[in-house]
Amino acid sequence: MAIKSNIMSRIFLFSFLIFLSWEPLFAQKDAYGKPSKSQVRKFPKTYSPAKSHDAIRFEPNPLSGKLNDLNGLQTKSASYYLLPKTSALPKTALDANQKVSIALEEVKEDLGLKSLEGSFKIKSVEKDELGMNHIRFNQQFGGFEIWGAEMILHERNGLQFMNGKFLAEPNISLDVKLKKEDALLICQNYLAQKTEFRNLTAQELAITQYAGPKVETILYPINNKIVLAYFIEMKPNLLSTWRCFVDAQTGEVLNSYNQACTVDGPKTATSTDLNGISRTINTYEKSGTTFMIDATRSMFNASASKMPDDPIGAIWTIDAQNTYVQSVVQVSSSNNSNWPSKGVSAHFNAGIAFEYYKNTHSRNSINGNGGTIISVINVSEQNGQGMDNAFWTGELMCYGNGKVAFKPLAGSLDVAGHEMTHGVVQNTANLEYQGQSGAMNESMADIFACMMDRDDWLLGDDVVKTQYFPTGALRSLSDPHNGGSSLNDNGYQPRTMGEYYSGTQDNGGVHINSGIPNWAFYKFATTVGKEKAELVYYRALSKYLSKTSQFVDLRIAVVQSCIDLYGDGGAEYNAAKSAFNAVGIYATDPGGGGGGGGTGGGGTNTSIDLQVNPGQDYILSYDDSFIDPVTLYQSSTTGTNYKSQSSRSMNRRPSVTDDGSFGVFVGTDNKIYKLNLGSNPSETLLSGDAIWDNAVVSKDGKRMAAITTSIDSAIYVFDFDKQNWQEFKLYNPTYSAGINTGSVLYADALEFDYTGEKIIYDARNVISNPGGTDLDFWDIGMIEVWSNANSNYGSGKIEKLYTQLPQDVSIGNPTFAKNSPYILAFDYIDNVNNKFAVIGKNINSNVDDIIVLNDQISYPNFSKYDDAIIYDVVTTTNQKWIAKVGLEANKIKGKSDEAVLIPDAYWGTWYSTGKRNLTSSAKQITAFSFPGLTPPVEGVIVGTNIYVNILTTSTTDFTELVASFTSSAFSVVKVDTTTQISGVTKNNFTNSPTVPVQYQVRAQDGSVITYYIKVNSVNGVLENNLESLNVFPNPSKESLHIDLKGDFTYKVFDLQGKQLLSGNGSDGIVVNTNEIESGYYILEIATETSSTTRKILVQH
Amino acid sequence: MKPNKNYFGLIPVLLMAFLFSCKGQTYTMDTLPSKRIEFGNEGGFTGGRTSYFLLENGQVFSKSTLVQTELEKVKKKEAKKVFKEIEKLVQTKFELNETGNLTNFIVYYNGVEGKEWKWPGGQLKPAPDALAEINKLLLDIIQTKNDGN
Repeated sequence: MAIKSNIMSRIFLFSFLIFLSWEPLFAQKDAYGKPSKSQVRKFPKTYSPAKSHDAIRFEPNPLSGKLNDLNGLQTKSASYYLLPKTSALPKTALDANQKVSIALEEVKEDLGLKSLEGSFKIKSVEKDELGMNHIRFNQQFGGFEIWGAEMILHERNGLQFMNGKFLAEPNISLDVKLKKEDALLICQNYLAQKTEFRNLTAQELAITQYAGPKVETILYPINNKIVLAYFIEMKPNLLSTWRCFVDAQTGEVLNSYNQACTVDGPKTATSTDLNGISRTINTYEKSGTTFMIDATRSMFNASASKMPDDPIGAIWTIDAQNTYVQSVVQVSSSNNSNWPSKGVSAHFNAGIAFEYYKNTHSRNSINGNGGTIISVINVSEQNGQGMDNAFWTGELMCYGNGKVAFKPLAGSLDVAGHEMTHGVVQNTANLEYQGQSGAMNESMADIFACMMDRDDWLLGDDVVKTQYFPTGALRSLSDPHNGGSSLNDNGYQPRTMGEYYSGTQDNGGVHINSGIPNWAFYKFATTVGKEKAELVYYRALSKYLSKTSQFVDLRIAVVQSCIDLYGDGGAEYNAAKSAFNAVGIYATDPGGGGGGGGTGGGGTNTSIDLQVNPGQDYILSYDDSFIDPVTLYQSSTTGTNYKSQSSRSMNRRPSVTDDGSFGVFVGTDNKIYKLNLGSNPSETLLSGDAIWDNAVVSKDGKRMAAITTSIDSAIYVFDFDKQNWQEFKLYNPTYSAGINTGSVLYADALEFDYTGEKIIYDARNVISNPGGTDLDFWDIGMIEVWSNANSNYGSGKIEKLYTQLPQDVSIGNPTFAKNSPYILAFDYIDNVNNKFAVIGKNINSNVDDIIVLNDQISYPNFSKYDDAIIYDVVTTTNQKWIAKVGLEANKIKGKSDEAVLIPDAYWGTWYSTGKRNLTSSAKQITAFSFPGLTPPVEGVIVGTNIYVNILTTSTTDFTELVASFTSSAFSVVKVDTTTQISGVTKNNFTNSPTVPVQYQVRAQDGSVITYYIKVNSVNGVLENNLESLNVFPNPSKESLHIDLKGDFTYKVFDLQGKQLLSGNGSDGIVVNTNEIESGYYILEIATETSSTTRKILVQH
Repeated sequence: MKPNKNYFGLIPVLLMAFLFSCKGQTYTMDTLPSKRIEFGNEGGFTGGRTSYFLLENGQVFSKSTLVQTELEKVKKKEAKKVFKEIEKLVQTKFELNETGNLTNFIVYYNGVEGKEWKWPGGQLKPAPDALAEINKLLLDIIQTKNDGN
């Protein structure tokens, strides 16, 4: 997560500030008539432990749980068991055995246990500092302990849940055939081959308190079965303690390992990689076993690491064992030698890729913050057979072993570089994996892969089989055609926009159209050198590109990065422009030195603000007094003039429409109410089903969304026009979120965005951890619930605000800025250190900052002008107040001017009562050109008419002209039914002077405007009769002479496209310009066969 | 008097015709029926697409960007079960269109149009809940079948 690392290092004595302002606040409260509060209202339901953020705990990396061999035996995949509210547990005083019996009985079916008789044994009972009870017990069967099968029953405030795992009862003989002393002998003989045996001296025995070998009969899960075994623990010498598991029926040694840690730590090993090259790799020894973990890099965090299953800041290679990454195990060695060649290649290449980013770009690992780099080898297809591919999962670099056309893909450095760069892209621009942004994602992966493996411009050249890829490479930056001539040829990619693929396959051609920016990079890098080119591109990626950037934005980002690094107008600047010109990506470039900017569209801009709500603003606050019957007050934004709005107890903060006319909320009776706000507030029931926990209304008031009181992973949306509910099941996107997201239990806080299409929500998640305690945390997602284009419910697609939260951190209660739909504020909770903050985030730039630190959950809400937020605080006397803090101009950073605003209140909502457009009505075309022509031609935009005069050459084909244009943000441009892609879509402009090509621009709010494009030939056969055209004087005062042989018509337009004058002429005419005001105008002249335009200036 | 006709000679002919009419149509990769299920993954380093096709009659095909082949047929009853489950899923209006670097997909062609669900592939976590059962049924079908490549 990009939240600044020093967030917890800042010291903020907020309670002290509150203490200082105590007296004035009470004076203010009494003066303006809000009833005094002397007692704190009992916390409403939202603060119950079951759904509160502060009941969250964290445990080690979930991956560690995947690294054991118990998965096949486990009784349930999600080892989190919330006991029913009707549980008998809290009703009577019970001892630990009774409690566990009752709890197991209630989840017996979930666990898949047949019998509870003698099924567990209490190991410990503990009460922690929060008052929670934890009863730890392990599974027994036939009187034997099942090794590693352990659960914990937790109790808090009448709620119980269990986690851990029990295994299915084995169907095996419990007849012990091997004598205990024979088992010990087998163990000693076995260990004699592994370690030194000697008798410990009396002094050594005293120091180590060793009383001789420990031998117990247990049930040992191994290789997806349970075996009756002897567990033997012994010290063959002073330095080691070995554990050995011997089959109690056959005498086979099932497993053994050294429990002592005296030789743990980084090691090196030499082994051969997939290309037959001897490589020295870094490994890590733990308890006598060595793992493919490189803990030697600068990013390694020894204190935070739990070796070997949770290394932090390491380069780690693991094994999917020929699965589709359904389970992974450590790559390990008992003697730090004979490492598998696939692992050696993957591990070695990951190290090179890490060092490349560190040394060339000062980037500390994939996430920029020293995150562990994980490679997975032996990944198979879904049917378990060989995979001709490698991929990035959001957290793992996965390598198939090849099958038809590829050798094992771990063998190539450029494959490792490609996959790691996907991770870097994810943590920087986060380019959406679709269309042009997706092609840029792929292109960046190829480009930096080539910079790591920089002896050529090829991708996959070490792993392809030449019978399928005759050039010997999968892709080529120097020639994206790669020996082919069409998409039917393996390895072919387009080189220029003229060859752009506009179909739907491959997520809109992400692996196809990447050839175009790839070729631009090649041309740029071969001009300025790889050393400069890679710095420019990394800067473009990390500083300028954003999620939905298009090719035109890439050009602008690269050109701007050239200016930043090497100056405006220099050789690098010109090389960048030339490179993009060569592939047909045009833009109005930044800077302008060295011959001016290019011709083409501007970049895409989705950071568009709304008009400020023109109405009066107020604050709604939930009252904290139990003696005051009023629950919800409206006040001024300075905390005065309180007016009662409701006396109904509420489950959550009410949600208010953008015009402030009404809100919706769920009462403590779990029903949904509509509340008409104002001087005469009134309530109506929206849903009488007593099942709801929270409800919100869209900003335009057209629909609402709600969640139920159940552990229910759905959000329900009700459209007031359709009068029906639609269910949207929440899930955690796997690609963007990696493995650290787990399953969604339920959503809690909800808020619609300004389009009414998406809801941002926080949700509680749990990750099953078979190797330990389950992980439990909150995070924020955004779900598409409505489509304005289709006037129907949306796709349910979900995106996460952050791809990887740090362990022990939760985020929640997201809220949008009032005027910047791309700005959010939300709660940040560090559960271990018990720290809280409000964080601001710019979604478009992917930048966040601290708004304010707090001592509790804040429930932030923006002010009318986004110049402040209000949020909840608690005083030193445990009273809940609403405070306010100013915001910097970027709206994501606080001003440190915190002050209390409304006493004895919480859940502040700042709202206004005016009407405004919530979706953009902008639908302009602001630039139009044909940059691919020689010379490039720009159009003149006059109102909704666009005039383009092209110097006709013999090669100009008017039937297939490609225009570059810039249209308003969020608008869609179509010609007939074809969506226009700037710089891509071809149109026939042959007859456009008489029948203009119509560009229909649809704004975000659905409104449409049509632009009429007229493309004239000014120097070809059709233009002969206009050659003699002479318009003078220009500027003119009272009259304008149009000197032209033959018959013609003329029209004069203002710059908004309004026709002011018109007429006919023959062999010239004088137009009276006295009738029009001073200013610029467009004169359109047409003959029978041709037409043209001139810009004229009238000066009276 | 009507002529004495012997109809018994027609019985073997009718029986053969009946038997032939009962034998379901067999398809090839080039003549897939309009009702079918396609599933697999696409993307990754290569950008390739690996698909499996399940037909109602139990035929199974495998196709990658580079090769295609027919796999061992499954029982018609088994295939029908998957089609039934996927039609139930369509009724729920469940939508899933989440792409990853490698993307899993299931496409159901009902004879008229295709309905597609996408989610990131090669993950430690299982398929989304709504798809889990169908995905398992489909994977079981291809799990033990060598595609011959």
